[in-house]
Amino acid sequence: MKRGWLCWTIVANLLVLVGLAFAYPQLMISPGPLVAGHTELATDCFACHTAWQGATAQKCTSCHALPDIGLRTPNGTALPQRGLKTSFHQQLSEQNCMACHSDHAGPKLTKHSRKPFSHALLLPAARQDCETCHAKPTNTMHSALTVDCVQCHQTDAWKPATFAHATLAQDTSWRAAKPATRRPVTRCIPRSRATARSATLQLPGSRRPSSMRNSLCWIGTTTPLASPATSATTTVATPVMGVTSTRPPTSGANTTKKVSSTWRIASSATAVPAVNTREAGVKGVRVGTAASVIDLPKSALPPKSDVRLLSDGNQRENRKSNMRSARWCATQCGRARPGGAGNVPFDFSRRTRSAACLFAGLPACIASAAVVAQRSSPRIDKMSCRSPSRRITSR
Amino acid sequence: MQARLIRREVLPFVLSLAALAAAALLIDAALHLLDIVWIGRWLGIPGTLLILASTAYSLRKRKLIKAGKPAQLLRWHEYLAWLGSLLLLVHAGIHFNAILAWLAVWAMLITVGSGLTGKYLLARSKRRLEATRKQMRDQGLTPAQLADRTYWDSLTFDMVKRWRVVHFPITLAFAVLAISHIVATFLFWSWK
Repeated sequence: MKRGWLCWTIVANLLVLVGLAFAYPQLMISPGPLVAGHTELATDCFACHTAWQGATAQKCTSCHALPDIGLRTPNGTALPQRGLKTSFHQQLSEQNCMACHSDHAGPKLTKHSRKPFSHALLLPAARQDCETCHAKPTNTMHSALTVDCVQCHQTDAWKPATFAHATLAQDTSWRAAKPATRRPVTRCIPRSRATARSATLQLPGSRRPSSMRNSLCWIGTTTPLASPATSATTTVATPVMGVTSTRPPTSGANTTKKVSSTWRIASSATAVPAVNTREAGVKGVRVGTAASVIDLPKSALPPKSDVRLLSDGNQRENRKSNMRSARWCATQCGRARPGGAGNVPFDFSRRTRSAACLFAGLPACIASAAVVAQRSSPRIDKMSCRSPSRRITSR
Repeated sequence: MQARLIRREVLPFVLSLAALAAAALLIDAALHLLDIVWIGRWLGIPGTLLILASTAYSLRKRKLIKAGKPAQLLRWHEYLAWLGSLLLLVHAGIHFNAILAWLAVWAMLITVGSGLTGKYLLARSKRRLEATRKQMRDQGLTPAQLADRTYWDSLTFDMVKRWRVVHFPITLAFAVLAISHIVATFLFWSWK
């Protein structure tokens, strides 16, 4: 008897609950309240849902006509333009409203995992035309460029980005700015703009020429310099090491000259576009300077033709490059050089060599040497072993 | 001598219920940490199927089917329903979205609780209480003394017994609420 009453009570409650589900579906069934613009549809589930099929794009576009989306409301009122982002809905490859929109405010716990927009939904032509929605960076690195953003950046995130110097060859603004005979050689920033991170490396200050004191430069490549002391020498300056490597002129193939004006190309007057690494927003590398470590953009790396670090993925080439890198590291860190130590002139002072090894990271060198011994040949960290093919000399 | 029902019988029951909750929370947390919460959305299907499979015992008990040994089916009933409930708890998560689904989860928890009551408490409590009473009678205690000594145990047993009565009706509530939830899902959700 008792149990009978219990059963009937539960059945009555269930009937009430199911009735409530029909009367108040927005509370009983809906996974969350609707967005502000659709509050009047709260009790009318079938305004957006088709029975047994879910919400469909056809239902959306019956009110929101595609040519009007982002431009005017379904009532015909013009929408205020918000910055650069004009309506891109007309440029979508398919009409899948639910790929980006959910009218129900979802569970708070999973809100963060929503991805409201995907560039993959854009038509290929619109996908290439970044500047219809995104403002071009105003920093000196980007402002003059005319090449497409996608040459270096992906659509899913600004970083990480890749940079190849060959990209600059396609850039009309860059070609116009640089005479054909002079390749981009140096990246300099005024010292005041350098972002000091930590004083991890101390190079002898007395060895820094005065021209270096007002700016930080970190790459020099094959540019003939009108220097009285090195008129026949191509200067390669790497403040990381505090040394200058010289490339002998083609006529004197087996001699290496010391360069007296080590930091000559480092003066701010001759600097090519200054790069503030924070503005650039490009994933960079860490470089030690006289008293600090700063983050440098990838564009600061030497071009492939000079140091052969940016391997093209060819495994054999990688291995050869790594072998060179390991040898170079070994010599710089005072280790025995395979095949005879006397062939490469290097006379680092003890202090400079220590600093170089500290920066280059002895563990990275040893690890890379170990990697060479393995059958796989991943690339060696670009900054840990900078220039395997260069001949190095100190001042 | 006391029957010590609470320590010997009630605690293991509470622990098995706690194990269910803890396992559900752990799996849910893992899904969130690994950012694979979408799996939880689909766990409702295997959970429902497991619970449906577990009802073989209920059907056998009421002679609606004739195959299978009741004792064996009861063991399967326990395992499958516990596992199915675990999956459904993960599926539900700690989300307060639609009331209907939330009520279904509560009905399921009460069903599981009442089922575990049957498994852990009733049979063994009865056995223990009877053994204690018999021992006391053997010691020559009068019925009044006996009733006095087993007062708390008797009270606990009566409460447990009442709790057990809930199992079938609340299962009915769970079934109706779960079916409503499933129908609503089919009606409004697109399986894409």
